[in-house]
Amino acid sequence: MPSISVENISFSYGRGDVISSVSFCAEGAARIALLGSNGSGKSTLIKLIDGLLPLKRGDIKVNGCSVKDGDIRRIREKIGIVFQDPDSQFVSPVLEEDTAFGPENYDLPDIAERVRKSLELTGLYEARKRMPQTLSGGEKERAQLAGILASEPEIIMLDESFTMLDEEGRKEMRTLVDTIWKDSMVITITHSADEAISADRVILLSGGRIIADGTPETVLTDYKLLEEAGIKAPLAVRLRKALEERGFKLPPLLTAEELKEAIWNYH
Amino acid sequence: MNLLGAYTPGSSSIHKLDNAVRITDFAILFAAFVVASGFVWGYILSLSVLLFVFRMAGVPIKPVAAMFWRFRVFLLTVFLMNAFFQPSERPYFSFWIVTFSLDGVLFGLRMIMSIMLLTALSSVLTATATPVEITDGLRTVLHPLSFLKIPVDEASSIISIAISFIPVLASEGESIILSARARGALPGGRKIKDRALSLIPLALPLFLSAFRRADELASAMEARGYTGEKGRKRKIRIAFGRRESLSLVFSLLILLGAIALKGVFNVHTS
Ligand SMILES: Nc1ncnc2c1ncn2[C@@H]1O[C@H](COP(=O)(O)OP(=O)(O)OP(=O)(O)O)[C@@H](O)[C@H]1O
Ligand SMILES: [Mg+2]
Repeated sequence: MPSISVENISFSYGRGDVISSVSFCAEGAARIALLGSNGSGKSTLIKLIDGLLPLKRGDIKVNGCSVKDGDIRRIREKIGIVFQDPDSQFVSPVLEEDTAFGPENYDLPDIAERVRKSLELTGLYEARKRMPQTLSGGEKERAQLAGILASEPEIIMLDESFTMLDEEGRKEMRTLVDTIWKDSMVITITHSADEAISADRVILLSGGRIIADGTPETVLTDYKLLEEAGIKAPLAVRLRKALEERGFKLPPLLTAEELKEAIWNYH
Repeated sequence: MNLLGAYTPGSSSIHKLDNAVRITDFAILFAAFVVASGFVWGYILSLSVLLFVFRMAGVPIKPVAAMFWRFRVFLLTVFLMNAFFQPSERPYFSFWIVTFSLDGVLFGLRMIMSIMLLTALSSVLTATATPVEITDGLRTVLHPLSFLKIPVDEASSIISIAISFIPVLASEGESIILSARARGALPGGRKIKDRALSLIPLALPLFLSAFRRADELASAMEARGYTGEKGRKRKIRIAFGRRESLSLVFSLLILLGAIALKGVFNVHTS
């Protein structure tokens, strides 16, 4: 079972801490949203978890191995990251070669089979000989999923991924992630509260600190906390509040669906 | 994308060659082109070989011509620099450091011919082999050097990363130029000096974003297990068949031909 344990870490790029005394634990097939405004330290945090930045204060353990003194390749093998900008992540001018990159680095067996499966699952098998740089936006995102899928990671981190896609495309990608990795831990990094609704746990980051950690129902309806983090509440939550101020009493809710339902049943 | 030297998937004999043999072939042809430079028959040989290799590979020749056309100012500058600054015993005229002579003109021509022929030849290599295949080939060919404690694996990886970066940079350059144009930067239509200056706002973001890109690419590669020293342990082995031997015989013959031609036609110059 995948597990991450972040123990009181702090980090600085040189001038002041961008991560201060952060701790949290997660295990199993959790769906976690890491929510925070621009510059709150989200990307830094996941880079620390993957051992891409040197950690000096505190400790991080992935599946029980510390990023400080464990075998970093064995840790990274278990983690798959989809970064924000798909264009700066392709290492080969041939899609299937790019997909094979991870498994080759980790010396995993049956590379050809892994590549074929990953490309089929992401619907890119037909495009396997193409140059990833010339794929469409949505195809590029799927190519990236294929690239990490091939190493069969247990922990997936999506750093503001899919932001270049339209609403339909984003929904499609999220469904794909949920089906491919239904038994893995998925950490979604985002600055939009609406994106965090579907998670089962929301970690709210502000100025490098965790200021809230709980269910979407508690964190995403807490105006004071969200304001402190510089995040707008989900649309439905704001609408509900506006209606409440005009005297309509509605039950607590998060999504547009729930809001519609509540208005429908209003009496 | 019709990028010069961008990998073009295909099933030509050159695509199918063993990686190490392909690299060796191209190295031999490269040497032959160098030997055959400086005299007309040599250029005829190089040019015919080049056309033949393009045909064999099924790689279009148009992007190459287009690229030389785009760099015409650069090529012209190289030519003029040589034509006017090459010291000579038989100048038409000489003034201060400027010397104009037949030797200079010939030398200038020779320079740009070499640049164009060798660029075109190497573009066939990168068009028929992916960076991974090139790394593979280099690693095998250079393997003996690793006994001298030369970091062959690292050197091969660096070369291949540099090659895979070309299309990224090119597309980046394209999008920067587009966005600059969209905001009113027009190439041409102004005075030369302004035009030179107007390149700066284009070049600067390209450099900056190239650095950023390189940084992000490095992170992404590391996140997928790449460590430089350790990753990508492939076995050293050569698949040597009929195609491989034929290609080696062909390139060696061209090299010998170039040497012979040079002996016959080029005794007095150089
Ligand atoms: N390589 C770096 N060198 C110096 N400072 C950096 C570097 N990368 C990030 N920072 C700084 O660290 C802070 C946190 O950055 P980080 O990228 O982790 O934020 P983020 O939450 O991911 O923001 P965004 O939503 O904009 O991606 C910011 O103030 C940023 O300026
Ligand atoms: Mg970020």
